[in-house]
Amino acid sequence: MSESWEVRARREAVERFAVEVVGCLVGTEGRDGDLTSVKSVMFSADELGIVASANPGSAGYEYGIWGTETLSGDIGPSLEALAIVASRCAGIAMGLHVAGLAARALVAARRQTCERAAIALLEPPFGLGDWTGPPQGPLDGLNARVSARDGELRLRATKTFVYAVPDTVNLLVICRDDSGEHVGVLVDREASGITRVAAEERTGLAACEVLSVALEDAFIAPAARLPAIDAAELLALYWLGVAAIAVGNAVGARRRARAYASERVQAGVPIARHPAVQLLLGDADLAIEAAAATVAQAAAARGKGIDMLRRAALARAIAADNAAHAVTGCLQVLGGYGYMEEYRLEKHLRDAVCLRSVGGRRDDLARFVAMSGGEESWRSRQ
Amino acid sequence: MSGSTAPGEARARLGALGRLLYDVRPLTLWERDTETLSWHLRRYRRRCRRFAESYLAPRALQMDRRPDHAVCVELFLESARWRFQTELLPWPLGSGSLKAMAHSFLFPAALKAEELCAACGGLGLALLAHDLGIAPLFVSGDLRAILRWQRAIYDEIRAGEPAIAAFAITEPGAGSDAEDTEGAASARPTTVARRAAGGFRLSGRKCFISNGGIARWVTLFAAVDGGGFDSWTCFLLDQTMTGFQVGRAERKLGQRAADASELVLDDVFVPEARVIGHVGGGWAINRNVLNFSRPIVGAIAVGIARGALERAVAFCETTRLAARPLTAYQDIRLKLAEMTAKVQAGRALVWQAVRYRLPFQASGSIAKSFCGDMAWEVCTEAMALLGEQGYLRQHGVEKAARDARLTQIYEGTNQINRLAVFEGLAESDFAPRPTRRPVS
Ligand SMILES: Cc1cc2nc3c(=O)[nH]c(=O)nc-3n(C[C@H](O)[C@H](O)[C@H](O)COP(=O)(O)OP(=O)(O)OC[C@H]3O[C@@H](n4cnc5c(N)ncnc54)[C@H](O)[C@@H]3O)c2cc1C
Repeated sequence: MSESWEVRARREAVERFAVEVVGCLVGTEGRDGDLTSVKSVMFSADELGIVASANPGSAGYEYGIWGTETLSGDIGPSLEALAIVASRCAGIAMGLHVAGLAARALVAARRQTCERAAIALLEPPFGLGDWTGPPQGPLDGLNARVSARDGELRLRATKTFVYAVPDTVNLLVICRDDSGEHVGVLVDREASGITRVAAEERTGLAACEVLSVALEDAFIAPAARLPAIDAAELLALYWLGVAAIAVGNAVGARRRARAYASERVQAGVPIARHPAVQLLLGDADLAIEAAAATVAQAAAARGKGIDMLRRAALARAIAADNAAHAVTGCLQVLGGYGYMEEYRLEKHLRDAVCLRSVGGRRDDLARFVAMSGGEESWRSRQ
Repeated sequence: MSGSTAPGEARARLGALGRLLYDVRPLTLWERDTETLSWHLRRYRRRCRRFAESYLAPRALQMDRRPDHAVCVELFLESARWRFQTELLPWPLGSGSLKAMAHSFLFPAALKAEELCAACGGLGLALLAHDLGIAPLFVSGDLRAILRWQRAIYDEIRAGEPAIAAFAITEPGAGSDAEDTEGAASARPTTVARRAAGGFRLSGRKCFISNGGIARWVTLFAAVDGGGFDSWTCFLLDQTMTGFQVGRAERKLGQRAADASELVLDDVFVPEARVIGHVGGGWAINRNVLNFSRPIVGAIAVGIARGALERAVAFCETTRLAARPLTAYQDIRLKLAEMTAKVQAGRALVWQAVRYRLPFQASGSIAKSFCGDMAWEVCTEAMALLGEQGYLRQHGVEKAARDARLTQIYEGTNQINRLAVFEGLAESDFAPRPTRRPVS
């Protein structure tokens, strides 16, 4: 089936944004580029409609990353856009991912706002809270609670590794209410109990902020509470976005490695002619293609609840592992130069190893996958 | 675990001889491995560990954040006081133990490398690169180089001077070519030496030189009179020579405490007496230095992996999930055991490589490439075990992963090392076999 004109035009717009705006931020100077310009990159993303906001008048409301089109199930374009941006900078892509996803949740809850939000979903120690394994499913380990008391809401939540862009105003804290349903509560990001891990103290994804939330019986105005949220879907989309970013990051590393391999001469020929280098690049190709296929399959599959969550867990685990494998191979293509900051392969690698853990440990996802489906239920679905 | 089936308690039900044959002592693998060594090496290994834990470990994270040459020099002097920087000659010329050296020349160096790098890969490299810089003097077998230069440098160090050495083969256009037979045969080095009255004039650039920015002495290789790598000659340069300059210092992924700098030679006059070995003997010296140094890179990798594993274990002991420490969970136990096995396998391979009386190409490259890959795997597994916490600097595990990644690149990429394994065994293990009749 041939692509529609709109789809091509959207992709080209995202590609232009990735090259001209994000690529400029990354540059070749400094460990992660010019991090002071992340705010202006986000401003451009808003202006160009690259990312959704919960404001119906905004350019990306419908077709930006996690825009309203995704509410009816068409998530492919958002994932593709995340991958394209991640091929230049996974940190920025992560920022767009969480900002778009929060906007989507706000729109779904009929909350119109221009203020940027981030999603605080996962809990210590590894994202899935006290989840020590199946059979219930990862969301059961999450302990955050909101309860109504004397006309006010009391929120008890410990959330870690909340990704946010610097101009984030609110955190959408996902918790259970008195009836055990998942709901969202908007909390000002400047509230006491919310702290930030400095970018220099982390391996990668530096363009994104990482926040921790420790709220012990905080009083919240009732208006801050959103109606019921499909937490399983939210987690699934979160995982899928991370998977797409991991793939995109690897594609970026491969682009750089291929270019280098055709220019660098050793043993009298461009290194691309050495089977050792062809193997590195080829292995990266295999890993990336397999990862991309898993993400695409998960995105295309219709499903809800545990089923969707399972596919997303598979995609996150496979894509992030494969992508990290591909990126380290691409770095090897550059030899010693790959290890140096200015060639940016080392940045791709730092981001890739972080992405392997974002949203939960691979082994936790694997155990969830094993217990929530398996071949038999897969067959029965055909 | 039920009390009566646990190994320790089950053993109690054996007779005296049975108990003697059943070792359930709660000793660490480190202690057990140390027990297998000779008395000298046992003492030496413990001393290395004490030094690394007292001086490197406390500075590791800070030096990763903000590398500081002055701290490296200070640590060099301290390690020299511990007699770690003059070990490539036996007493009285250096501080090497003749007994240990006679048993296996490289064993002490492998022990030292593992211990230093378990504490910090970057500081470990900064301290170990000096031996690499000195190695050509020794490996040349040129008694003049040993007795005049190596001894002089060791005398300076013993007098409390920071007479740090560096080893310079890599050029911007020749990385693998400087480490590989076929590459070298088809490439032209661009750092050249022209004959001049009383010596040579050197011009060109070397890059990525560990300790290049702080070294007083550099063993540097240059092609003579427009020749190829077969004309390579080893020269001993010192930082005070006119025309010798330190260029840019690299900013890198890991082992950040260690300097990696460019060296720029602008018509530097090097007297004849500073030629190490013979004119044209440089390629052989270089190849054999790599035979000596690659098992040590294997040991560096083992050390880094062990450091990551130890930190991961500490994390799992102190982190609780559903009110139990992580070490109580089966999946965590499986992972820790797997990582431990990998580190042990790496160490066994390194110890095997340094047990040969003399190192040789295949054994060094096997140890280097296997352990480099193993270290990257173990460190990234350790990161994954910690989940997102794994990428926080404070736990030291992500640093180990960044440090480990270099062991797959320097001293020849792992690809070049694997090719060296084949080349080294081409006339033995991989030699074409005479056609044999099938055994009926
Ligand atoms: C931090 C650091 C410290 C270092 N310290 C020192 C030092 O102290 N002294 C020193 O002299 N050097 C040092 N080096 C240099 C190091 O040894 C080289 O980086 C390494 O040998 C690789 O060379 P290269 O970087 O030029 O990569 P290249 O040779 O350009 O290799 C690029 C890719 O091509 C492949 N390739 C190249 N040629 C072939 C071939 N013929 N067949 C198959 N594949 C091939 C490689 O495997 C690699 O994947 C250091 C490097 C680093 C990064």
